[in-house]
Amino acid sequence: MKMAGRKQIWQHPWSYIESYLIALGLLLAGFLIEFSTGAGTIEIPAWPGNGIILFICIGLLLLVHFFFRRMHFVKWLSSVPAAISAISAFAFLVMLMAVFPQESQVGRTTSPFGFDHIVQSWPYMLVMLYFLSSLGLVTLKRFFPFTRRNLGFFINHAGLWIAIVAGSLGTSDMLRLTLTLQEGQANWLATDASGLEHELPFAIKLLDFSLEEYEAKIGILDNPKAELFMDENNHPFYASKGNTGNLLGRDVKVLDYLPTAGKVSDRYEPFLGFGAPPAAWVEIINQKNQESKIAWLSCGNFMHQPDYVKLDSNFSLIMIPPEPKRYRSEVFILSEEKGDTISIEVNKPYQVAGWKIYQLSYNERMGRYSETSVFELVRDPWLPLVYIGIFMMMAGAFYLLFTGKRREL
Amino acid sequence: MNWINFSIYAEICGILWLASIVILLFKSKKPVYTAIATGMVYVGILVLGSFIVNLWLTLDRPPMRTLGETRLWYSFFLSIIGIVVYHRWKYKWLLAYSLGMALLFLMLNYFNPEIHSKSLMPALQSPWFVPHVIVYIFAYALLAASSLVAVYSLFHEYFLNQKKDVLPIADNLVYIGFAFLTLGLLFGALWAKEAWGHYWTWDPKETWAFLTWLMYLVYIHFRHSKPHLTKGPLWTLSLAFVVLLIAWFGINYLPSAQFSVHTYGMGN
Repeated sequence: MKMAGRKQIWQHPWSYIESYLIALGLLLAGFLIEFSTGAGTIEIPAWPGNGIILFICIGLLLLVHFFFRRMHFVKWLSSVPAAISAISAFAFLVMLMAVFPQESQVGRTTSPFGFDHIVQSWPYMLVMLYFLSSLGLVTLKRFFPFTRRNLGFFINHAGLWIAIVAGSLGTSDMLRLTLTLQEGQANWLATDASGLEHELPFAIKLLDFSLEEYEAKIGILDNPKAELFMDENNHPFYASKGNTGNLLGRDVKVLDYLPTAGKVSDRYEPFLGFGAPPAAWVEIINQKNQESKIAWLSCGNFMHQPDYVKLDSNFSLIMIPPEPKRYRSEVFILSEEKGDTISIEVNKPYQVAGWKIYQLSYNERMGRYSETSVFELVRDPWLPLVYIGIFMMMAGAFYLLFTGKRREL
Repeated sequence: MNWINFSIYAEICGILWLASIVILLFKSKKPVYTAIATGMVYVGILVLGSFIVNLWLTLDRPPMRTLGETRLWYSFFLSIIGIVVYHRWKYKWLLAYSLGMALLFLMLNYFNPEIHSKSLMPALQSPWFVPHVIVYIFAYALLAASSLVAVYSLFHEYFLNQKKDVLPIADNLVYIGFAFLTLGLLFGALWAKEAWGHYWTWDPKETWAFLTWLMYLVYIHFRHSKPHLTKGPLWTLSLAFVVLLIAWFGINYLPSAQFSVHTYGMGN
């Protein structure tokens, strides 16, 4: 028996059941369209198409807010149940993304329901539309009329809306290109992921590439498997002079470390030439029988053979090639306005003419002797808008931090 | 070496904070004791701060390059955020927790001085590293506490048939924890733009962190709309914490994680 006065399903005002049914319906419809259209990816149009979409969306939200906000449907769309169902549907899709590896290659997908390209799938589009309509309407509801009490609410909600909308619409205007240069070489053409060349509004000349390394480590090689052997008691350690370690029941002491060395008959000497590998002079004492042995280790490189010590039929003591500490490129950048010599390294991109230039890679086989530098060039004209959203949310987070949960009336 | 005097600074700071933790956890009823405890926290912060300034001047560069230097900032900011949040919200356990974490990083440097120069891959050498991790440490602590409170209350409800009105406490913990979580996510986005060229790439760790964020978003909105229901929110909190744990630890074992930029040191 239904209690008297309890509303029937689909009778206004809609609440949680209706909201969740609608979210579920959108998801199902999305997956069905995805399946029947054959696993294509949805591309958001580039400028000016995405600008027009943004304009229409904001226009529609304002129109609905000012002229139709008394409609049951609109009231429901800006209600908490609608918001929660939209967040849940969004969370469900994010969970799919979190579990299934995503294919970022454009147009090459295998999952018929779009599991491997969620952000470009129909269910995602429909759920986003639902989510952003709800979020947009509730933001407007609290913005007109504006009160100081609503400040925290507004910056959090509007910030999220702006960040998501600008970020999503901006994807098709974003260009990510790579450019590989040899020392002394200059270029103003860079290629995108599909191999297409793009002309840049500036030219880059690589003056010098330099790479600093950490000291090499000493470890154990599993010979049959040809891979590094490591467990709780056998950790590779730095080959710094005076350092000691214990590997497979041997005390290993580093008597000397040469960051760049040259081999002279059966020993190494400090050497600064091109292609000189690091080498370490070590004393190895077998803990069982106190047998001691002194030897040179070197990891070798693209020019030189490694030197290692065979411990038994399965294991060898080796030097592990050093890891890069920092690498950077000295470049000359010539744009229409000016020419500048600057240095670019990881985490320190350089900004010029609407582009950011990143240090991406180098010739890893040659390591510190690489004369090649690989740059990534990114142009994202929607970034300022995304950052406005992000900074609003940050301000909103600080607001939450200091107000906590406010007692409602 | 610049680090040699570190042991003296670390010992003073360590003793002060340890004493402060003991007082906060066991002797915190009287205001005199709490005043002493917070006073010691401040002195500890000053001592550590002066060491950092000293190191900065000697090195003639911001000490943010090596893992050891990074740990100094962890200790420094953990204690500062701890005391600031304490003054605002009076959670003694949280101050004790953040001091404990700060102490942990301090001790790692103290007992392992050679680690100071350990390798840090170039992408991690950024001024964003420290704030990004610290706000997450706080978010996880607060959200973990909110889930503990939720599980405690569910236990009482199902097994002892008692109602515990813990939701107001849980709400506050979630609001503050959620604010830190948001900051962690956004700091990460700003850093990613500088290091990898894009602020959001749906990297598996990002995806899981965002999923966690959405779960707590559901909790906050549900509490707002139905303040009198208790079981739903309590279960949501418990479930959200499972997702948070996956985002934190479990991620490395998932098939989607093989492309993650957050799985460091899995290779060798």
